[in-house]
Amino acid sequence: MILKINNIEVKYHEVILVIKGVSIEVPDGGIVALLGANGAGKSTTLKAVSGLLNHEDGEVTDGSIEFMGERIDKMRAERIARMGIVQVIEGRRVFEHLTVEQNLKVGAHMKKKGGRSIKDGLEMVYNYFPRLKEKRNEIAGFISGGEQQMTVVGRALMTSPRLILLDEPSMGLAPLLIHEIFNIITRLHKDENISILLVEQNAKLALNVAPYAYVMENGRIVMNDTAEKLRQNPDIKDFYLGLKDHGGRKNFRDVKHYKRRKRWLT
Amino acid sequence: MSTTFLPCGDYHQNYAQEHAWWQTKFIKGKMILLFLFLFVFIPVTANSYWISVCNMVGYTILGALGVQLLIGYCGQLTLGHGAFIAVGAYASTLLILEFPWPQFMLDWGIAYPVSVIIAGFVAGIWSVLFGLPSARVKGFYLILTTMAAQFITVDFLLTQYVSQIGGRGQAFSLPLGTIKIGPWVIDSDLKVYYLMLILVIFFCIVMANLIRSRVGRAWVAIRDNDISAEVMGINVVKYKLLAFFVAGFIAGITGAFWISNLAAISPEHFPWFLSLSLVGVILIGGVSSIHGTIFGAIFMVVVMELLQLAVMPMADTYPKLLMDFLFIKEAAFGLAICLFIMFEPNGIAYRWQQIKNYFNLWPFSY
Repeated sequence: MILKINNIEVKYHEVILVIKGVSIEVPDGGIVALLGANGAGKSTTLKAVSGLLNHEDGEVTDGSIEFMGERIDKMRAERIARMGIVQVIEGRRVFEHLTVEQNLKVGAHMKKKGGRSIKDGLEMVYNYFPRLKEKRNEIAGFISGGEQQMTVVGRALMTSPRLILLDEPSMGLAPLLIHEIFNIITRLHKDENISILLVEQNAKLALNVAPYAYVMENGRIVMNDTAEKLRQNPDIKDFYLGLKDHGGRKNFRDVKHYKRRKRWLT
Repeated sequence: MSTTFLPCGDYHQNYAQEHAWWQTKFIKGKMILLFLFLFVFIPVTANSYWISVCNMVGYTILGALGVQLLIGYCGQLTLGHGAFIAVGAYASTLLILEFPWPQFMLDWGIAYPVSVIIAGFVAGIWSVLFGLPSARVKGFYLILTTMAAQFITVDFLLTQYVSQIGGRGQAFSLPLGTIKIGPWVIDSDLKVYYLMLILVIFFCIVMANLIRSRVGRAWVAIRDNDISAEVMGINVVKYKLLAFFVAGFIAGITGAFWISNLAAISPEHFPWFLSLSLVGVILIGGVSSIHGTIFGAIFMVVVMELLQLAVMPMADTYPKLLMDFLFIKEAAFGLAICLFIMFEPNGIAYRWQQIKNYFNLWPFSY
C-alpha cells in the first residue's frame, strides 16, 4: 500500500466536522476512484492528504495518513510534495502569466540530483500531450480549458511523482476531450507506474478507469468494492450511473425515489 | 503580458535559439544603436541639466526594479520601498563618514564600493524583516505592514536616532571627493551618469535573468496561484522572503548610489511619496515587465520635468503657480495614474510590445 488513510477526521474552523472517519487504501501502482455527490467530502479528503487544509483553516484531528510507511498528516504541503505526492487541484489552476512550457518547468522545481533532466521531462510530457507541444510558447491563461487541464496534469507529471491525486479532471470539458484525457491517464499509469487517487463526478467514466472504488456520502465511506461489483450494485446504478434496474436510462420522475432511498443508504 | 512574435519568415531551429537574448540581427543592431545613444550621444550633446534629469531617471529605474520584483513578479504589494532605499543610503554614508577605514583604503577608493555592497546587504536584511508578515498576510494587509516599514524606518529611526550620530544635526554632508571608486572620483553629473548607466544595465540584466530562472518561475507561480505553487513543492514563505531580500538589496544599492549625486542626505530625501511614486512608475510603465520599469521611470521623470518647463514661463504672470508647484506635480502624478489605469491598464510596456508585434508580423498580421 503506497497510501494508507486510517480513520481520519477533518474539522474546519475547529467546529465543522466534515470527514467523519474515512479510511482509504491505495495500492502501489494502482488506480483508486473516489466517488460521491457534491459536498460529500471528496476534495477535503484529497486536501488532507496533500496538506492543503491549513489554507482553509482546517485540520486533521484524528486518525493518521501514511505514505510509504511514513506519517504525513502533520506535514506542510511543500514537504509532502517533496515526498512524491502531487495533487492536481480542481479548476485548472495554471499559472496564467507563464507560458505552457514555463508552467511545466515550474513542475520541475524540486528536481532531485541525478533524476531525469528538465529536457527529458518535457519530452515525456510532450509525448503524452502532443497538443501542448504546439502551444508551448503560448501564455497559459489564453489557451483553451482542455489544454489548461493538460498543462496542469503535465505539470504534475514533471514533479516525477509516486502518487497523483486527481481532483475532477473532467470538470467543464467536452466529452471528447474528457475521453482523451482519461486515455492519457490510463496510459500514464501503465507506462510510468504511478499510483492515482481519482476524484470524479462522472462515475461511469471513473469506474471504467479504476479497478477499485470508494463511495463517499456525508463525510463517510459508505461503500467500497471493485469497480466490477460496484457497477452491478443496484444502489450505485441508481444514484451514480443513472440506470434503472433493468439497464435503461433513468427518468426525471425517479428523483423523488432517489431522495428517499438515499436516506437509507447513509 | 503578451507574447512577442518573431518577424515574418524568421524561425527557431533549436532550443538554444529560442532562449537567446538577441534573437535577430535587427535586434542586435537596435541594441547597439541604443548603447551608442546612451554612452556617446547623450553625454556629448546633453547639457548638465538634462544629464541630471537622466540621473533622476536612472535612480527611479533602479528603485522601481525592486518594486517591480515584489509587486510585478512575486505579487507582494509593497508601499514602503523608499525605506529600504533610505537604509541603503544611510548605511553607505555612515560607513564612509564614520567607519575607521585604513588610510590606504580611502586612498585607493575602495571604501565607497565596499560600503555600497554592505549597504545592499543591510537593506536586504532590513527588507526581509518587514517581509516576514507576508508569510501570513496578503494583499491590502501587506500594504499596511510595508507602509509601517516606511514610517518606522524613515520617520522614526532615521530621523530620531540615526541622524544624531556624530552630532551633526539633521543632515549628513558628503564633501566632494569622498565618493570615489578606485582612482575615479565621482564629482560631476556626467560621472554619476556613467555610474548610473552601469548599475541600471547590470541590474536589468540580473533581473531579466533571474526571472527566466528557476527562482523567477517560482516567484511568478506564487503570484499567479500560491496554492498550486505549494503543491508543486515550492517553499512559498522562503521564496517570498527571497524576493523581499533581492528587492531590498537592489534598493540598498540604489540608495548607496544616489548619495554620489547628493551633497548631503537627510530623511527628507526619502519621503513616503517616494515609495508611492515608485509604485506609480510600475503602474504607468506596466506591471511585471522590466521594460515597463524603464518606460515608467522615463515617463514619470521626463513628464514632470516638462511640466516644470511649461509652468515656469507662466510663473512671471502667475506667481502662485511657482509657490504651488509641488501640488501641481502631485496632481499631475495622480491624473497620470488615473488615465493610465482607465485607458492603458497594461502600461506603456504593453503598447510597446503591440507596436513591435505590428512591425514583426507585417504584412501578415493575422
